[in-house]
Amino acid sequence: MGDDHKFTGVILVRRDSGIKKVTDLKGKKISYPAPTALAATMMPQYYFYTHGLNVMKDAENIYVGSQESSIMNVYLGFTSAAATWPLPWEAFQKEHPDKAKDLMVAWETEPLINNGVVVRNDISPELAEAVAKHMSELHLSEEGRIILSRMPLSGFERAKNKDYKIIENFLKEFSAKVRPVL
Amino acid sequence: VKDIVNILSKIYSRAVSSKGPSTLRVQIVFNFTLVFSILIFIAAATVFFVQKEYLYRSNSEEITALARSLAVSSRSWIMANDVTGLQEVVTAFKDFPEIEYAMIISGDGRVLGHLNEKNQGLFLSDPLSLSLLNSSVGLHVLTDNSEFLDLAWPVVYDSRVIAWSRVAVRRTRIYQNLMMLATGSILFVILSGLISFIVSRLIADRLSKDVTSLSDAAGLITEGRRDIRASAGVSMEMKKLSESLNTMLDDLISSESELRSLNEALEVKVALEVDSNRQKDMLLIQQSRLAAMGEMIHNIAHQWRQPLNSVSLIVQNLQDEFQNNECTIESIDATVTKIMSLLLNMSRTIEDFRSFFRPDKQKEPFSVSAAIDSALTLIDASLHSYGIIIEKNIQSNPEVFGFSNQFSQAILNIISNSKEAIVHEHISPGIIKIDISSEDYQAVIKITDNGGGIKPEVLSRMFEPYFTTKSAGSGIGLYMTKMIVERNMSGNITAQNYETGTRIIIRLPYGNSD
Repeated sequence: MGDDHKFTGVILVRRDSGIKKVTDLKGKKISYPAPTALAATMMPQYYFYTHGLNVMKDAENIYVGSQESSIMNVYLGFTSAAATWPLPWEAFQKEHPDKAKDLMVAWETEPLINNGVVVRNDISPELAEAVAKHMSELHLSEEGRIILSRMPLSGFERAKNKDYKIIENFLKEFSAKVRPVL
Repeated sequence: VKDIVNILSKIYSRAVSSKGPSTLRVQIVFNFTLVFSILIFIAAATVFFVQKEYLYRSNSEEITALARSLAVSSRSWIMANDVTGLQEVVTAFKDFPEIEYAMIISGDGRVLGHLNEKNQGLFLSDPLSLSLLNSSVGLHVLTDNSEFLDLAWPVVYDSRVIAWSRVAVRRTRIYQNLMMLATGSILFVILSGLISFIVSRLIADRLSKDVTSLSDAAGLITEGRRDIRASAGVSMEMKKLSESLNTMLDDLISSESELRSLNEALEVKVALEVDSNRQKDMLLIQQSRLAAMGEMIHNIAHQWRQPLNSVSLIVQNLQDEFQNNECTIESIDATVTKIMSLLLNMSRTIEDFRSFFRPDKQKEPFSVSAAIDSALTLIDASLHSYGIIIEKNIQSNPEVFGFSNQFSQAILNIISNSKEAIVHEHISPGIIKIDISSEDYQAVIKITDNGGGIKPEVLSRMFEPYFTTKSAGSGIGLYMTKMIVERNMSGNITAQNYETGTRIIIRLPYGNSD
């Protein structure tokens, strides 16, 4: 895990769309990369739920395959809002500044714990520990920072299984209230 | 192509028709070059059009395949609503030669993906594109001309058209390619024309050399030369022709010589015939003269019978007076005076006959009536002795031009014939009517008798020479009459049966008939 503050959901709309409130999306189409994307799909859907929009009833969910496709769908006007997360949005802004300027971040969700790196049980604990150590120290060297910048990530942090309990809880609540996934 | 055919046909008709017959050489060169050029032109044009057809057809097939390929590649991206992935698929076609655009259009006319990504998300609103959206499954060609091809293939999922894959290309390269081919073909046709011209000239020279030599030989033969021989012979046909010409020339020479000897023989024959005719004519004239003389003597005899009788009576009277001593010098004087008067009269009669039979010196105008009177004077006594009456009726007295004595002779012949017919038929009284009148600038003399007429078979032949029905006739009188009227006086004589006899009608033109 790392940069957990950046593990949020981002909801983009066109600047000329006139959408101010989440409830303005009622009856509209919303694009998402894939149904199982945590930050880019589930967290925004949860956000909509908590802000008065039941995505199962009030809007049409369109899963468009990729982060960029989700952004492009709202840019092209195929959908009224697009869900993604900060990293692809930053990349899109760099690659297509002319298109990105027509879009704006309408809402951003609360952060959740970032993705983790897991090892199989049949890997020896020593090896796992060695790899974890190296990864967590990458940001300390120039060489390591170059590697991290490509992800991009400021650094890896050590985590334990219990740290991801929050995800389990989120999914349970998400399945119960927003959209059944479990 | 139409223009070119027109120009060629004009050139052809001008070359063939304008300046009369052209030489064999020119005809061979012209026709050979023309036909060869036309064939090459047709071949080149065929290649051009086949190539054109092929290029455009294969281009169409290629672009159709491209549109199909785009449709197949796009389908899953469209189903996943992945416009980014779709855009990547479309962009992959950007390097296709001469591509103008490639796009995926949704069912409502929205551009889902476009070669130029700026167009992504726009709506198509032109009628051509809108017509596509409502059309059925299958290939749709939106534009197909020599410069541009635009076609669409449906993206089908579950038997449903979910979008259209549309591809358009420019055809500049095909056009340039065809232009190069056309230029090359034209150059090829011109070059072929030149080569065929040169080759046909060589062939024509070779062929026409023999023909010209034969033609020259034939020309010389026509001009009358017989001492030449044709000697052409590059080809077998020419050799044969040359031999034939020589054989014909030989035949001609022998025919000419035969003809010449025939001509000579004929000349001799003609000369003999002419001579014989001349002798016949001499005889005819002689006979005519004899006949006239006989006629004259006959008429003189008639004229003299009366005065001779008178002289005989006067002389007998003188003898009686002398025996009775009644003869005085006065009575002798009176008797001599009477006799001298009668002799003078007889002498005048001879003078009349002589002058009548004297040939006229030259043609001159004369009165028809006077000429007829002159003839009647001679025959009057003879007619009177047979009790024949002359009824002369003059309606007008025209003057005609010719020999007066000849004309009187002709009238005399006709009246003599009438007299003989009347005498032969024992008609009493015999009447000969003579009517003189004018009609259409012609003098018309009708001599009609009541001598019984002429049989039809005789009527048609009566003016022929040596034709006679009389036992002592010569057949010359009426023939001479016809000659005088028709040949010497440019008149016309006809005969017909009229009432109880014959009518002869003579028509003579007025004045100077020359």
